[in-house]
Amino acid sequence: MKQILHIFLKDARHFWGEIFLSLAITAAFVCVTPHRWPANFVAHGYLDLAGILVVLVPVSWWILTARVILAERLVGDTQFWITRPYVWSNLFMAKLLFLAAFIYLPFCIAQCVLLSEAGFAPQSYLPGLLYDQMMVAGIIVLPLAAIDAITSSFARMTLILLGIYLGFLAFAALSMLSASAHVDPIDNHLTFRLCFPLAVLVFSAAIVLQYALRRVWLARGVLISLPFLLWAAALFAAHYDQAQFNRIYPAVKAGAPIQITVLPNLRSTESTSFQGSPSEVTIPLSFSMDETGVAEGYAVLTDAVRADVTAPDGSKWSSDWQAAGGYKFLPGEVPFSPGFAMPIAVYNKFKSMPLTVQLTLAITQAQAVRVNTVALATRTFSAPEFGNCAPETGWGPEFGGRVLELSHITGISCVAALSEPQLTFVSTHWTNGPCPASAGAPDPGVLGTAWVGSIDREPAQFGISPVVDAAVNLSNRYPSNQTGLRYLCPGTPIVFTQYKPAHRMQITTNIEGYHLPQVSIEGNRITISQ
Amino acid sequence: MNLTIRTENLTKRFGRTVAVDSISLAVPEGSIYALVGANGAGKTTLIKLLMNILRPNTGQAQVLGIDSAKLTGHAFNRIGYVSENQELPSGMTVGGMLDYFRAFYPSWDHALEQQLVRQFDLPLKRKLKHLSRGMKMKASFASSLAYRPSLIILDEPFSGLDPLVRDELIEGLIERAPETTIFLSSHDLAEIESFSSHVGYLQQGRLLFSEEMTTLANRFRDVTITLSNPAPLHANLPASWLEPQTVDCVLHFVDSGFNDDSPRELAGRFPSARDIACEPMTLRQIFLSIAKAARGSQISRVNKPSSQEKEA
Repeated sequence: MKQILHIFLKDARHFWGEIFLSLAITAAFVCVTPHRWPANFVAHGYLDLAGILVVLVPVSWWILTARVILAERLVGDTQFWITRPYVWSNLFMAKLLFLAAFIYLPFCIAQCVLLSEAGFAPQSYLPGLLYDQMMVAGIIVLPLAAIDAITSSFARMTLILLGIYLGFLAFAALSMLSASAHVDPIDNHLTFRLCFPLAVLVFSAAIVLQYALRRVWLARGVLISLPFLLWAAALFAAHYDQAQFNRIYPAVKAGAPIQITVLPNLRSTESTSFQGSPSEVTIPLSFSMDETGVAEGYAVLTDAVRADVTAPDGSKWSSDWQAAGGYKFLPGEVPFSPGFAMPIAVYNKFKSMPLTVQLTLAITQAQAVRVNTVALATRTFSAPEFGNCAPETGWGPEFGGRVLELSHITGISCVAALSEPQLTFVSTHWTNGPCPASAGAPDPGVLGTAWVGSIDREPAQFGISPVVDAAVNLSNRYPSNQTGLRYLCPGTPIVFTQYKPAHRMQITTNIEGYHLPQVSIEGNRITISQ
Repeated sequence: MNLTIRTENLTKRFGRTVAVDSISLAVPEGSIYALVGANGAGKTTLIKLLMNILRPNTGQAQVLGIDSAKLTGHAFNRIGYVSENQELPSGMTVGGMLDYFRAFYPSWDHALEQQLVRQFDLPLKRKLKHLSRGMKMKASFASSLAYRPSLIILDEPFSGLDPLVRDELIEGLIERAPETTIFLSSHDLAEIESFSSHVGYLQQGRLLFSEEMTTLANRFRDVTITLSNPAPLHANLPASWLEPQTVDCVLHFVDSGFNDDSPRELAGRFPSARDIACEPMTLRQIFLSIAKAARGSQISRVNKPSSQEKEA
């Protein structure tokens, strides 16, 4: 312990400049960030500065991490410390202590201060804070430390980082080129859940190996294997997720929470561009349908779709599970257009035949678990279990040719702590005319609704700021004739209905005698006519 | 005899290059062992193997009774290591460095530290990065001697230093000699001759010999024989004769196996010799002749001759 503290104090004394810089940037970030929030929004200058500071905070960590680890660098054979009585575990712990003291602790304090500033009690969000710290460690600090551990100087470390960045860009560009044009992958939670711990494990292993053995090529080999391991894990996760769909979303036997009616497709022509080879393009197919039957107190969400296509000659094709457009249904009849993507090769095989399409939707039946009604205030107000909100007072002094008084509320903006809120249906009423002097909206007003949040939220989402925008894009914000404005009047009730998943299931609809649309490909444009 | 360093068939290869070739070495406790050899002979690699900075491909080494591959952490409490290439914590002052290192060594002698600071005239408040090469070396010496290590390993410690600094360092080193074993590498023979007790010679990664300095000095003689008549060189000369050559009536060679009987044996071999002169050699002369012999593939002749060889 004595040696740990001795090394730690030496580093703290030696790198006081870097520490000061990092703390100053973190402090500036804490000061500026609240000005980005709707309740405090002052000017775009703060927005820019906050945006820069969001980048500068990890940059300061990069410098601090590199300086402290390279002070007793692990690569080379001329370092002073390798022939001194350094115990590797003490050196490792001293560096860990340094990172904890000058990166994690200030970051944790900054997050708590920001949460308090946003009106959230930090002690209520400890699991989320820890989760966010874990992600910041795994995504930023640990990779930086691992690269520091296998490089001999700051310049080399910077070059490697640059190389990795360029590698990512090249990979992203290649992925875009080879990606199918219209396949929306389903949310692949397992990929992150598998890849994140794997990456943390590999980075940690490389660092510990280096401290314990100083076998540079062994540690480098471990790190070089990471992209291949992640690729394998992602493949496995994608395959596993597809395979797990039938378990997570069992086929409904009786009493489906919604009924679906297939409607005749309207004639239309759509033209979109695509990237990659024309022989690998996918054709987006959609179907007009009506949904009914959602019970009171529930909502139904479409999570994924898959299609089983059968031709008269008995040949078949089945798609993977694909994203289903994210429809959210409340009680009442709602038209919607689910669809899926079909590879051009399959399309060419089936295009002249009448097909039987079995469309299977993976849905979540969500139950309203909490309803909170809050009167719209002229300043910040709290929406319990949702976040803290503030009235929006326009985009400038002039809008639509009319002077917009700041007292005219044109919407609400909200922030949540650490992650987007639990899926919530927000509803209120707009007024077309000026607000009455007394509280409350003029009767009857125009309904404005919005879905905000996620049905399966994580304790925290990765980010430097713990305060997350929860955009409330209320419908009917603008009158249909585009003249005048709609306002929210102070005192207007805003209803926040929170939903949690109750059941997940598959429901199936058959479409008989379906003819594939006409498709023409010219250059990188695909035109679909039906 | 207690051995402070012992190696057995220690070998280190870098790709196809054999930097250290099957070296078996024994350094007695309390000795001042000088490892000499030309640049690139493998001296630094051998020292790095001893210090566990590099790992051997085959063979093993024991330093202070510890397998060199396990030489880490507290084992360095008893070892002082100074190298011409070693980095120092350049952002620290000399005083800061000594303060920092002090806490690592239970046996750190503060009085000795102060004595070394005075002796080397170290500027305590100056940062290491602002020091001259000689001053850095002196600071490194002070930080490696102040805890009275049982073994001091020095890799080319005097290389590129001016004579004054060199003498100061040697003086500091000799003062510590009674209580420690010193193992140093150098290619400057004159400087080590004065204080080394043992010497080993490395040539292209191979240890040509390793013995006490006095033994070495005693067995090498610069021999000049003046003959009555010019005579050609015989084909079967003793293996211990290096660089034999004749000019007119004069036969000249270096005898690497000289002993008390050698003058009599020479007189018997050359009965018509008018004069036989056997002059002692300096270390520099010895190594020059060894190096020249090695170039002429006479490497095997420089080892101490066995009794069988002598008889032959």
